[in-house]
Amino acid sequence: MIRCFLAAIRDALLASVIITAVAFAGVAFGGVAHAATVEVRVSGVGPTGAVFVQLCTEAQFMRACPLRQKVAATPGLTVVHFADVAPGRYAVSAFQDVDGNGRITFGGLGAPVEPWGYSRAAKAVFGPPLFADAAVDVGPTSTVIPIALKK
Amino acid sequence: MNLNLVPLGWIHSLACLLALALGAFLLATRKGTQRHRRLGQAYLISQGVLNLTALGIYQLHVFFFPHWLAMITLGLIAVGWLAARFHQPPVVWKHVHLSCMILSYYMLIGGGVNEVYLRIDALRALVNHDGLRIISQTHSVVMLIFLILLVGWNLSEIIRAIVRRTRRRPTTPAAA
Repeated sequence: MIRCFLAAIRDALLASVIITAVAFAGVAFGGVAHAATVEVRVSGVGPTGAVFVQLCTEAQFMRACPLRQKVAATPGLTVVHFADVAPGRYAVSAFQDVDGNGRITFGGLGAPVEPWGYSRAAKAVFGPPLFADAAVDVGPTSTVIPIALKK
Repeated sequence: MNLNLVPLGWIHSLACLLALALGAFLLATRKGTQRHRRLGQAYLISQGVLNLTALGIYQLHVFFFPHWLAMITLGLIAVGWLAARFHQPPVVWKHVHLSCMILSYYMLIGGGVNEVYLRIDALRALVNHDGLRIISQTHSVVMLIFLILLVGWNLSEIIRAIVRRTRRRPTTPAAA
């Protein structure tokens, strides 16, 4: 009877290990199969200051988003690559950190004083743009998103 | 609607709502009564809280125009309260008090206009697509209303003072 009980436990453990492994494999292979590469082409870049680019979902919009990069400026056009981006809708924002303080600097009227821009050239006249205005669909393959910095 | 506020922002917003309600009530009801004094003190405190908390909110990491306006409003409510509390300057304290309180309420409404256009998505979309014209027009209307209130109220106080003085003037039989 005890032997029978132990065998049942062993079988249950084995089954759970197999199920977990299959689930992990599914998620991992599924993730890799659907992850996309996003190329952000930032134009209007000046010679001074690193370029910050971030991809945000609607829930993350206007916060520090996990998908972000700081790259050295290539005057004119700076290209930033994001690998393994899950398909979905993203707003892309970029700015050039001219004063080197690690964040976008605002002036006395609350407007940015450093070059900045959003995907789809979303307007931000009074406060930030709406997510819907800047949102871009990222599919399972590679996507190119242009952003023009303005001051 | 974007209500993504820092904790201090919530205190600021609640104080704003309280000041909005108290200010409207105080402007619309009889002045100089015990109730006016009591609620006036509550308005003073709510204005103090909202402007001091405004000075502590730095989401853009910069001291910019809302902070300056908060400092101006703190000055206005201080002068307005001192004028009513000590009846100073002697002849014009009512005008000073009235003007300061109307202007402090104008600052509150003006700030509210900005917040409404910033936080209600439909209105922000309108400004982002059509430019600053709509928000400028709203501010112009608010400014005009408060200018009329300021001038009208001060004028009516002056006329009331003149009438009171005329009535008080002694009429002697010789003069009659």
